Amino acid sequence: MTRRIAAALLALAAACGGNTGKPGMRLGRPSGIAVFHGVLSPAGPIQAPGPLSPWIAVANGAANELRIVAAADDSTVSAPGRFFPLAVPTGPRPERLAVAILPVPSQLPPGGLPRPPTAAPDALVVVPAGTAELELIDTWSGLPAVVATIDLSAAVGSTVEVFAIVGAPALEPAAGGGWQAAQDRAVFWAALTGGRLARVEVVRRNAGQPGSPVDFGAVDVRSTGGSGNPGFDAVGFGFSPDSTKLYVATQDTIVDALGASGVGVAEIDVTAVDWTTTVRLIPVGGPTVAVAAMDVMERNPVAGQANTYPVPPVAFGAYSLDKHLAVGLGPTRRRNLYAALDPASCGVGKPIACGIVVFDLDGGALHEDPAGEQAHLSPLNIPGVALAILPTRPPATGNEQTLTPTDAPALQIQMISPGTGQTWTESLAAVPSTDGRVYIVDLSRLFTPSDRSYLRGDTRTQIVGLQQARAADPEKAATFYGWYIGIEPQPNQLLVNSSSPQPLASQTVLEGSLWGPAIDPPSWPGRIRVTPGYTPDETWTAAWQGALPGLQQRRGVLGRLGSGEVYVAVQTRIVAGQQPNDVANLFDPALGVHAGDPALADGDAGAADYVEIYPDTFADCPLSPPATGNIPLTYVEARVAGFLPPVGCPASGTCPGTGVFPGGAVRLAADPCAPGNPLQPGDERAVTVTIASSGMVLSGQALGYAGRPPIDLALSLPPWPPPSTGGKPGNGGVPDTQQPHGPRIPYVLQWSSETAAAASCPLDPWPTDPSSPVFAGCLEGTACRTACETLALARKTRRLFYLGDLCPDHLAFPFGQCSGSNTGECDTCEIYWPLAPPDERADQAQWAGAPVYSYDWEGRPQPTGPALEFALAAVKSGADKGEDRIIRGSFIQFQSKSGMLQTSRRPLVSGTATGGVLPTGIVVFDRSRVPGRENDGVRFLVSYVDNLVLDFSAGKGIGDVGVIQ
Amino acid sequence: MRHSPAPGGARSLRLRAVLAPVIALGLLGAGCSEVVHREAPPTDRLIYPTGIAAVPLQSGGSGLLVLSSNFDLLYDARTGGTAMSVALSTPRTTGLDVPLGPPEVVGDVLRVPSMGGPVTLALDPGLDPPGTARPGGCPGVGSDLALFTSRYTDELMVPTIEADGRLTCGSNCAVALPLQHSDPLGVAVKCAGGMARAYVGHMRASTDGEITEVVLASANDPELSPGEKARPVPWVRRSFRAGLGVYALAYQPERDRLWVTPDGTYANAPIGVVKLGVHCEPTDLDVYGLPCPRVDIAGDVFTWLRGAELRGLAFANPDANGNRNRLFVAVQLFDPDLALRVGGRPSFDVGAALVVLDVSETIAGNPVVSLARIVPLGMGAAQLRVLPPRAGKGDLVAVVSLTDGDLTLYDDDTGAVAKVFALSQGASDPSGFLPGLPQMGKQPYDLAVEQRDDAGTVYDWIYVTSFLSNTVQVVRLLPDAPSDAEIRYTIGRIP
Repeated sequence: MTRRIAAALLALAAACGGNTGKPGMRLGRPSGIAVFHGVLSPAGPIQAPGPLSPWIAVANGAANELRIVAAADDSTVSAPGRFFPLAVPTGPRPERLAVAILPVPSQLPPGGLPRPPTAAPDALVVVPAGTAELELIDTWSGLPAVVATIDLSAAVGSTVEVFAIVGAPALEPAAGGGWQAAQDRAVFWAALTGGRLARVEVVRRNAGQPGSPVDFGAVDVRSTGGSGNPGFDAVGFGFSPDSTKLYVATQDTIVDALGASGVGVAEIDVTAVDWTTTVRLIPVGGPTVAVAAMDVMERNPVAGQANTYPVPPVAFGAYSLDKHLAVGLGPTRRRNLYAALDPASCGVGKPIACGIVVFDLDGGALHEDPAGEQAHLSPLNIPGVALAILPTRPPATGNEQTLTPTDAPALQIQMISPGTGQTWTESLAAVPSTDGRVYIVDLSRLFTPSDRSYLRGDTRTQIVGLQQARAADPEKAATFYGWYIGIEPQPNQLLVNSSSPQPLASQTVLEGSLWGPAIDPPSWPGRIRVTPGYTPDETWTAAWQGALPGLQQRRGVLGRLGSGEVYVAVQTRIVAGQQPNDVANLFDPALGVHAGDPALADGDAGAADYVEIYPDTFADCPLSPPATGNIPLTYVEARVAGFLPPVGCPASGTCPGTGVFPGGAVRLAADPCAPGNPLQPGDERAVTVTIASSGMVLSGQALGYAGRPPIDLALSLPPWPPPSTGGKPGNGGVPDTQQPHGPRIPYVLQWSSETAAAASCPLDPWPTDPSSPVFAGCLEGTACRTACETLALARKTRRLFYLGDLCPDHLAFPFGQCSGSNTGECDTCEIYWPLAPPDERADQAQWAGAPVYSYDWEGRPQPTGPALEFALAAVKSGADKGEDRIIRGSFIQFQSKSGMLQTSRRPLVSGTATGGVLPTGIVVFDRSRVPGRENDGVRFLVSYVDNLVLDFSAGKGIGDVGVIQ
Repeated sequence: MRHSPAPGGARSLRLRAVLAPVIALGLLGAGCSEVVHREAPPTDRLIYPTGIAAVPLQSGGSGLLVLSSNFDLLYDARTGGTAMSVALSTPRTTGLDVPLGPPEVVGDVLRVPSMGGPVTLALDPGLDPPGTARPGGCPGVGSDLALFTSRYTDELMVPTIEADGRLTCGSNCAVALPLQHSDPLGVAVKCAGGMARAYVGHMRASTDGEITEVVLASANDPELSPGEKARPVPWVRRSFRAGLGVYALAYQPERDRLWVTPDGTYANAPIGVVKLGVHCEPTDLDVYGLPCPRVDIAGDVFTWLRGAELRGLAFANPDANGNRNRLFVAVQLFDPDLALRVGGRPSFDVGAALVVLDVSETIAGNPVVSLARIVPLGMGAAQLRVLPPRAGKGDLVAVVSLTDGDLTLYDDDTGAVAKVFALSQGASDPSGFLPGLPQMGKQPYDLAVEQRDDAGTVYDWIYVTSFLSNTVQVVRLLPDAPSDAEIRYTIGRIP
C-alpha cells in the first residue's frame, strides 16, 4: 500500500512539473468569445505573468466563468492546480464579451487610431445573460478576475438588458482636424432594451502606465428615439474604419434625425455629444440582423479587355481566378456597408432576396450590379441565417499575404482558399451562420466563392435527370398511353427521359425503351439551357393541364352571388360569424391562374384554365358526362372566365356565411351544376377543387408556379396513321400528322426587370384590406395581371450568385481541335458555356443554334441568361393505342443543379466533420504578428454551443482547421 | 483497520465455486422475466414527477395537479403512478420557509398507470367562477378535465377535477388508445365549433397513424352521427397519419390546425400541420397521394439549424386580431454529421435551443414558418410554456432543460433571455441554495404556468417538476420584470 501511495504521489508530481498534459478548455455552452491583449501566465496565476500577449477569452455560459487560451497557439491557460483550465468567475451565465483598446502613445500615430502592435492591456468586459451589468476583467496584473461592475439598469432607472456590446476608441478632436483616439481611454457601446444605447467609458487609472488598473468612467444612456418615437433595439454593431460612425443593425423601424422613417441600418455619428441627433437611416432593403463596414478595394471590369481570348493578366498577382472575368483593382477604396437582412423580410416573393446586402456609403445607394443587369448587387447568398459579419484585411506578414505585382503602389492582398482553388483578394469576411458553418465572402470581388466548380466537370450547373410520368390521378392516368411529352432539343427530336434523343424520322418511339447515356452531354447542348448563377437547385415539373402549384385538391366553395356571377374560392367554408380559413389568394396573379375564353383550344394564349369541382355529393352538383365520353371523371368541370376581387367580413356586424372570399375568387364561365341543380343567387356549396392550366404549366418544387411553357403539338412521328381528326396547335391538342413539323418554340424562364413590373403591379405588396380599390384595377385582361405575374416570376429567377469560378487555362488547348465532345482536347468551359461564335471550335455546324453565354457583353464580367430555357413537344406513338388528346396531368420532370457550394469552414477532427452545430460568437486575430507563427495568417475563432472553438484562416485549406475543446 | 475474514472460510469458497453457475443461471433467468411489484405507491410524496398543470379552480383559487410517474416501476406498473391535487392556498412569503414535509394534498390521490406524460386541461366555461373566465375553456365538456397519457398502458387518462381541486376518476376515466406500443405522450385539445376533442400524439410512427382523436363532448359536435352522439364520452373516434412519430402537439384555434413536432428524425426537422378543418376522404391518399386529414409541412428547422430535433412547441398568445403569429419550439441539438454517418439520431446531445418562428400563410393559403431567432439553452430542453399575455409586450416563454437542470425565461419582447435558474451560486443565491445545487432540482421535467394574485399584486407563477429530486419548484415573477424572477418555495421535499 505504501508503495502505491508513493507511486501515486510521484505521478502527481510528474504531472505538476511537466509541460505535457495541458488541460483542455472544458467548455460549458460557450456563449461568447473575444481576443484581448493582457498580462497573464500560460501556467495560470501561480506563475509570474509574462509579457503583454494576445489571449482568447471564451464565456462559459453554463459554468459562470471565462476560459482563456493563448491566441498564439491555442494552448489553455491552466489553473494553479495545473490539472484544470483557469476559470475566471463571472456573474451568472456570461453571455457577451467585448474588448476595447486603451492606446498608449507608441501605438497612436498623430491624428489617428490605434495601430498594432498593441502596447498596453486592453479592457475586457463581460455581460451576464439577462442583465445590463458590465463586469470589467483584470487584464493587467496577471490575476484575471472581475474587478469592477457597473449596472446600466441603475443609469436607466429600470431593469434593462444588454443585447449587444462593442468596444471602440474614445475619440477626441485631432490637431489637424478630424478625430483621433484618445490615449488611455476607450468606450463600450451597449444596446439596451427599450430602444436605448449606452456609451460606457473605461479609463486607465494612471495615464501612460500600461500596467495600471482600468476603471469604468462616464456612462451615457440615451434613447434612439425622439419624442413619441420608441426608438429601435439594436441587434448588432459595426464601426466605420475611422471609428466615427457606429452602424446599428435592427429589426425595428428607424426614425432618423431628419424625420425619415424606414427599416435598414442606423448610422450614428459617435463624435457628437448628443449622438442621438445624428441618427441616419440607411435603407438597405429590409430590417437587418448583422452589420459591418469596410473600405474595400474592389475588382472592377477593365474596359476594352473583357471581350478577348485569352484573358489578359489581371491585377491580383499570378492568379486569374476568373478566366472570363477580366477585372482589375480600384482605383480607390470604396466605403461599403455590409448588412445581413432579416430573413422574415426577404426572399422569393419579397422585393429583395435574402443574404448580405452591400450598400455604397459614398454613393448613398445599394451597390451597383456588376453584371449591369439588376437594380443593385444581388444580396450575397448565405445558407441558413447569418449571425454576424466579420471583415478583415490581409495579415501583416507571412505567406498568406503578398503585394500586387502590377499596381503602383502595390497593394497588400491575402490568400483565400475555396475548394475550387486558391486565389488572392484584398478584403474578405467571415460569416457564421445558423447552419453551423462559417462562410467566407470575397468582399473585393463581391461574391461568395464556391467549394466546387459550377463551370467544370460533373458539379457544373446542369440538368441531372429527366423523366416523363403519368398523371398522379389514377383516374386520369388510367387512359394514359400512346403519348409522349418531352423536350424538343432541335426540330424533329424528342427527349422524354435522361437519354440521348434520336431523330424521330428514323425511329419509332417505344414506350419504356428509350435511349442511352446521361442527359446534356457536350454534343447536345441546349436541350435544356441553364445559366450558372441563375439556375437553382430545383425539381421542375412541366405538366399538360397540370394542377397549379398549391391548388390541387383544395377545399373550396362554389357559389353564386346575388349579381349572378358563379364563383369558386379556395378556402374552408365560412361559418357565419367566422373568417374563412386556408384561404388561397386566387386573385393574386402570382398564383398563376389564367382567365380566358373557353372556346379557345387548350394551350392557346387566352384559353381559360380549368376548374375541377369535386362536390361533396353529386346531388349538390350533378356530374355531366365529359366531352370525350371515355374518361371516367369524378368531378364537374368548369372554366375560369374572370376574377372576383376579395371580399372580407364587414368591419362591424356578423360576417355572413356566403359571398365572403378574402383571397378573391375565380368567376366561372358557366354554372357547372346546371342543369341538374343550378346555383341560385346567394347559394354557396362546399366543394373540393383543383385548378388546372389550360395547356402546359411549369412549376418548381420549391419555387412553385414558374410560367406556361408552349408546346409543339405538331411534332409527329412516322410511320403515323391518319389521325381521327386533323389537328394542329389550337385544336385541342390533337396532332396534325399531315402538317410539317411545327417550329421549335422555346420557353425562356429568365429574370426581367422587377422595377418595371413592380411599377405596374399595385397588388405588391398584397393589400391587407380586402376592400382596397386596387383590386378593381387588376381584373382579367388588364396589364396589371401581366405585370404582377411577371414580377412574381422575376423574383423567382433572380441571380443567385455571382461567378468567380476558374476555367482551365485556355492556352493549354490547341486551337481548332475542339470537337465539342472530347474534354481531353477542349477547354471544358468552352464546351459547356460557349462564347458567341466565331471561336476556334472545329465543328461549327453542330453548334448552330446552341445558346451562347455572354461573358463579354460590353465588358460586363458576369454572364446573364435564363434560369431555364427549353422547348416542349408531344407526339403520339401509334395508331392503335391512346387518345386523341394528351391526358390531363401528364408531365415531364427534371432536376437542375446550381453547382454552387458556398465556401465555408466547419469543425473537423482528423478530417471528419465533428460537431459545430450553432456558432455563438466570432472574433478575428492576426496571428501572423506572433513571432514564429507568421504563416498562420489571419485567424477566425468561432465559439460553438456544443463546447468547441473553431480556429481557421481563410487562406488555409478546408481541412486545415483547428478545434479547441 | 483490518476486516475480519468472510464467514465460511475455504469451504465456503469451494461451495461458492460449485454454486456459481447455478446462481448465474438463476440470475439470468430472473433477468429475462419482468419483476412485478404489487405494492401500492405512497401517496405522501412525489415519485419521479413528470406532468404538471396549474388548475384554475371552480371555487376561484388555484390548484396544482402533479403526476408521479413511477418511472422505475418500483410500484405496481398499472397503478403505481399517482395524480395528486396539491393545495396552493397556504400563504407563503419567503423562499425556503416551507417546512420539510409531504405536499398538501387535496382529496384522495389517484392511482394511475405508470409513466404519465404532460398534463393538458379542458375546463368547462360553465363552471367558471362568477365574473371570471378561466383560460383553457372547453365548452361542452360538462366538467373540468385533466388529460394525460400513460406510455406504459397506452391509455389516455381523463380524470375529473372537482370544484375544490379533488381528482376523481369514473368508469370512463381511462381511454384505451388503439395504437398499442406506440408511446403516446403529448395531448392537445380542440374546443371549437361545438367540438371538444383531444388529440394524442404517438411517438412511434405507424402505418395506422400517429395521432389519435378522442371525443370529449358529443352533444353539439356537428360531425357526429346521432349514434355517435349517444356514446358515453370520452371515446376514440379515429387515428390518422402525421407522417412521422409525434412528440408534441399544439392546437391553433383560429385556423383549426394541429401543429406537431416529430420524433425520431435525424436528417430533417419538419414542423407538421394537420388541417383539421379541411374536409377530405380517407381514399385521398390512394387517389391523390394526399393524406386525410391534410398534413402540410410549414417548414424544416433543419435548414436553419442542422442537428435540430424538435421537442415541445407552443404558440404565442394571440395578438389583437386573435392570431397566433409566433411559434416557440424547444429543440435538442445533436451532431448532424455523426447522425449521417451512423444513419440515425446519436444517443447524446451537444446542445439545445429555443427556436422562435414567425407563422404566416403562403399565397396559396398554406402555413409557413420563417426563422425569427435562435436562443441557446441548457441541454435537454424539451418542455416549454408561454406565460400569460402582457399588455403591449411580447410573450415570456419558460423552458426547462432536463439534462442541465435549467429553467430559462425568454422574453420575446426583447428577444433575449431574461433569467436562467441553473446551478446555485452559493452565497449569492437569493434562495439560499447551497453552492452547486440545481435551483430547479435535478432534471426538471415539465412545467406549468399561471397568473394569480399574491398579497394584492398580480404575478406570473411557474411550477417545475423535478424528476429526480421529487419536488416542484415554485417561481414567481412580475410580468414586466422577468429578470427578477425568484424561487418562492418547494413542494414535496421529504426530509
